[in-house]
Amino acid sequence: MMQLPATNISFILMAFTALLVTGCADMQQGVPQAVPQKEISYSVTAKNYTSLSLVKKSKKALKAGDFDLAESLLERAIRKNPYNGWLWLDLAIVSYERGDYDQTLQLCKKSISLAQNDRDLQKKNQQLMQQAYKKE
Amino acid sequence: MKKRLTIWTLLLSITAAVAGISAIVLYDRVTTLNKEITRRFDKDRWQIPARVFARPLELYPGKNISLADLITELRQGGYRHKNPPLSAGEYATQGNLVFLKTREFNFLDGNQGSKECAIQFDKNTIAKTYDITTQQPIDECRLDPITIGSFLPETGEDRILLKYEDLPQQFIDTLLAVEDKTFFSHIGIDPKGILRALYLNFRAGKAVAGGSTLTQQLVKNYFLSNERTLRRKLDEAIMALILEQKYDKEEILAAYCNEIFLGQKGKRALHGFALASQFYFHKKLTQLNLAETSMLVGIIKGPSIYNPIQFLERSQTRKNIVLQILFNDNIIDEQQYRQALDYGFPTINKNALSQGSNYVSFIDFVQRRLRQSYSKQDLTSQGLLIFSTLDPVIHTKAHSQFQATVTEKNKSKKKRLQGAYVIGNRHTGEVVSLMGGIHPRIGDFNRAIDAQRQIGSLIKPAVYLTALNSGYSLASIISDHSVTLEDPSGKSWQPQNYDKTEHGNVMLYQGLAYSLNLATVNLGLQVGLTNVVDTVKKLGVTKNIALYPSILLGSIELSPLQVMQMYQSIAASGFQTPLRAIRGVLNQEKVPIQRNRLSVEQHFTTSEMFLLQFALQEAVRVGTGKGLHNHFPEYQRVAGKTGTTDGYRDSWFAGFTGEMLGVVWLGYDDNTSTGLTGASGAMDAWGSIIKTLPYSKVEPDTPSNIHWRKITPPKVKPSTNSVNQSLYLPMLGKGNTNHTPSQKKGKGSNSLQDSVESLFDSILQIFN
Repeated sequence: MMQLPATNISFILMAFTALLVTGCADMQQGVPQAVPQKEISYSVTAKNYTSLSLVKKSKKALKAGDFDLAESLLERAIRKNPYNGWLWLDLAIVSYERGDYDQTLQLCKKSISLAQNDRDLQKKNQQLMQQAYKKE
Repeated sequence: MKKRLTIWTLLLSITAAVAGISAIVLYDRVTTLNKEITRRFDKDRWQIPARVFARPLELYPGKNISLADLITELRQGGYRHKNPPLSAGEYATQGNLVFLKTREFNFLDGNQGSKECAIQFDKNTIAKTYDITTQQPIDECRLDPITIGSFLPETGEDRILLKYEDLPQQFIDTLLAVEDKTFFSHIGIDPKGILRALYLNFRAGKAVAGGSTLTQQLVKNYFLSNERTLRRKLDEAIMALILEQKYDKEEILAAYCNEIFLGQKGKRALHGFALASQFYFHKKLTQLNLAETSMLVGIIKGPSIYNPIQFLERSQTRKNIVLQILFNDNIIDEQQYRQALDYGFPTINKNALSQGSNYVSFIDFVQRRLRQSYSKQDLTSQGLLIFSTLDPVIHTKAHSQFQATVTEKNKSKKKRLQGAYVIGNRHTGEVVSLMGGIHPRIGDFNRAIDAQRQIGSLIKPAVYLTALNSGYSLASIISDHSVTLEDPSGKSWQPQNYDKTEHGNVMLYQGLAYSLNLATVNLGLQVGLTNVVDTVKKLGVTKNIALYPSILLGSIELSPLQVMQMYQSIAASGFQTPLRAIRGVLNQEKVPIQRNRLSVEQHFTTSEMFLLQFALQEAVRVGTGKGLHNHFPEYQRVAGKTGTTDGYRDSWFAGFTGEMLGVVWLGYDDNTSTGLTGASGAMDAWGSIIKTLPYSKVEPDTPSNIHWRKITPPKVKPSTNSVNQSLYLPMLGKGNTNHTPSQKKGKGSNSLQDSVESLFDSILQIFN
């Protein structure tokens, strides 16, 4: 058996306790409350839990006008969770901001194709598409 | 007296003349050398090859990767098992937990410092990731990527450039103690040192000490040939003096640290401490401990003799000598000395290093993509950092499975089969593994990209998609009856089914699932050749395609990569993404200079693609891909298509799971018969590869305009059990499609009602 340093052992114990408390059946439910809703407005869904920090960083980059970075971060999120329509909408928003309206429309279509019964997501995509059509 | 004077005058004159001539010669020589130094030292000091990285491994909850695969990648990336993992580049395991400390790295999206992470596994999935420092769960833990290749200049010289500021003090102290104690005070040459060396060598009766300064060593390596003549020695001294005059000590030391030769691996010559540190210890120079630093400095004496990968013991001995010098010079204290002496170097598993190292075809792929934007000169000299999409864990597994399967197939053959494959991400179009041959070597024909082969039945999805696009349903009845056509030369062409029989009326999805040639040709003629070709193009094939009926059975020639693009469009539900091998490029200063964005373009509706995907899943569940069940016993929602060409010349398989997409081709370069069908050759290889990869069971959701209907299809294979089994078929709309193209042509039908009616016909046929 391996020996781990004291800090690690207490850490493991903590980790396991945390696991017992939250239950490991659905990892996605445990965390979102800890995240302030406002900061990421339309992108908080239980589904993209695994990419929350990437989405946040992407928003920040978008605000700063660094489109490439914003896209890089979202693409990382999409690689993890390709079926999450919200992430594709986020990517569409970056495309829109950088003035690539053709790609905005395409990405919105992709997002809608994954929206299923998520009316909110559908609506937001429609809105963005309308805006993009106007600009195009 | 006068006579004497004359002699003295004469002597003096001669001396003066000699001195004068020498001075002129010397001046001339100095000028030449000075020019040489300025030319080479100021401009283009080194050619720095571009490096290609694999994709960085991102560990996050929900990621499909086994603990064993993580360890494999950690080892490939030079991580060491050390408990506890205190320094960057170390890891430890306990039960289903892996603890690791990542190394600082400049990614495409910026610098990321070293992080201590704990990864908790639940079977072959990551359950949680934690930051050990804050003891909090985190979204993800990203590892620095492994290097899979570099574009060497003609000289074969490989190096990573470093600046003086990058040199740790401990390293400088060690280097100077061993190689040049008076470096910071001498003028380029060290007369005392030369005298001492002469004396020591004279006393020993052989060469035991060298009197060269670092500056001289640099000059020798950088400017001069290896000949041992007095003239060269003189040039060396002059150049060392000039160098010291023109440049400061720091610059000279940094140049030395970049120039020095420290090992050879095949054609690749390892230069400079930055690269050597990476190569031998998988660490940056700043991350080396005293023992490693001493070992690295010890290599200078003889890279072929003291190379720690081949001769760990010898290089240990050399390291101890270096430590002894440091201790004697009071650079380290006794405790440091003892500790470094006892430092246990992990033995490097040479097999582990070489495993999975055949990146030749993939690097070739990367290079071709790069050459669209960069010259060869850029790639071999500008120190570009290329972030590729290769997944080393998948690649290692995939190509060993591929080789194993082909070796197995070769057992009963006189000739050795060739083959190629491409594997990528279904959604993002990123190519994660590619092989252009069974054991490809640099410069070999890259079949994955360049082989143009007939694709046979791999074309069929395009025919069925055209039908679905023009209003047919999966249950539409199509005719698997013989047909006679004219080929371009006017000869009659009579296609046949593989089993040489006709199957009468079948449902559309069955035509694809059982790969019925007659049904496909009839359907293709109904929907129109032009439309089929149009579909093929919309699927991403850019090639010109002649309008012959034989294209319906795949007489067009494509490369595995082109087929991959076609199937990517299908797997990504109609949203085409150009296949990518490169995510982006940083320049030498770590500034992004290129980024390949993820872009999509919708060419087909999600619904029609959903139907096509279903039919391709049926091909694997009950049709020609049934043999894959051996590879995927518990998961059968694999979608795929076999392809065999006339005379068994090509064996193909293209297919996808929830996450991965792959195309495999097997055949002979001289286009002779392999005796293999798509199912018995390529599909077997495909299955053996894909089953070892992580696969996600997540599938596209049923689009809202699709409804499931229970159907009892006609039997295609009379030999299977006699009861017709019903199944649920996805149908567009509520069962009544508003378009009935087949009625226009008077054959077949596409509404559910019609289908059911025809079904009774076909059942009756069976009883007839």
